[in-house]
Amino acid sequence: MTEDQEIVNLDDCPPKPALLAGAAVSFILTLFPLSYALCCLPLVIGGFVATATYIFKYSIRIELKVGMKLAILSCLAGFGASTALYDILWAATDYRIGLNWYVELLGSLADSAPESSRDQLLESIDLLKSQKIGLGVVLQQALTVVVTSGIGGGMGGALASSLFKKGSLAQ
Amino acid sequence: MRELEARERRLGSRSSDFKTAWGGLIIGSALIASIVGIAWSGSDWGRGIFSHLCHQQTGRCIAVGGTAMAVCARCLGIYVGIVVGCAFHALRYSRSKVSSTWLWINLLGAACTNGLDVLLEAWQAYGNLPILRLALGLYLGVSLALFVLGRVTTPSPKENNRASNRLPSGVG
Repeated sequence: MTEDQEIVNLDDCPPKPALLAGAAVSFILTLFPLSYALCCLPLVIGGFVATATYIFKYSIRIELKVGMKLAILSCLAGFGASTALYDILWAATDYRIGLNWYVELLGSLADSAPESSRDQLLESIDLLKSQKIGLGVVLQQALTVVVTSGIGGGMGGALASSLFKKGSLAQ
Repeated sequence: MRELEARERRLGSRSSDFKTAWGGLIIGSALIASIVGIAWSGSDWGRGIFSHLCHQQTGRCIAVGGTAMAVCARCLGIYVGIVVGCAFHALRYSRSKVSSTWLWINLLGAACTNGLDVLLEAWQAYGNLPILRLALGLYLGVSLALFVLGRVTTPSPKENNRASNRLPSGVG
């Protein structure tokens, strides 16, 4: 790929479809408590999908900052929406998506954990069960969405924009 | 003229690499400092912020001041590795670039060894080894940072954007 190829104007490539694709993936993967076991991988995947969709849709190669920004925004939208849905259900019906599954997972981990960390795990299960929704929890979740989307989305976007380098440079 | 353009392109590329590496270094360092700070203060609220970023199983986390960190050893290794990779890239700024093949081999090697570690532990080939997880996470983080920074798409110099002054044929 030569650098003298045609340069595409970034304004001619609206990011909405890519943002929606990444946000949809992030939403689905973070809505269920699978994300607890997979660390930041669901958001890395969401960010990667957003940037890769953008690159392939317009057959372009993009700068790192553009790819990362797109991925972070899509993760913010997807993860933010799933957190909002989780909170609405929690506040309205006292139902917390995937809580039982997560408590079971923690319980099985506590069974096989060494004596020193078992108590801490059981304590965290009790804390999780007794937690009530309030301003503190919502604020904490908002910070979680921002920090996690920044890290996971940034990694996914950076990886996608450095992996796919065919096509004209968009700037 | 071409020499000048090539030099400008080279300088633009280095500048972009350099800024990205420093950005990663600063943001990554702040993130690690906050993770260590949360463990040091023993803040449950702070741990909650990272609860979606990592499973936070106490036995798999490295402890600071008697409290387990908000992320597991592998995640911590990845973050530290990214910071180290950015620092390495920023410091070797003036030297020649590492080949793309080497970057690919390194990244795939890091991903495979981490995957193998997960599988071997799941098959109970060995028990809980946080130090091994930290080391493998570190390897993955460094490889990821070097891969991304080594393949940065650089903006073209302004000369390339300038429209031609030549009039279309048949005009005048």
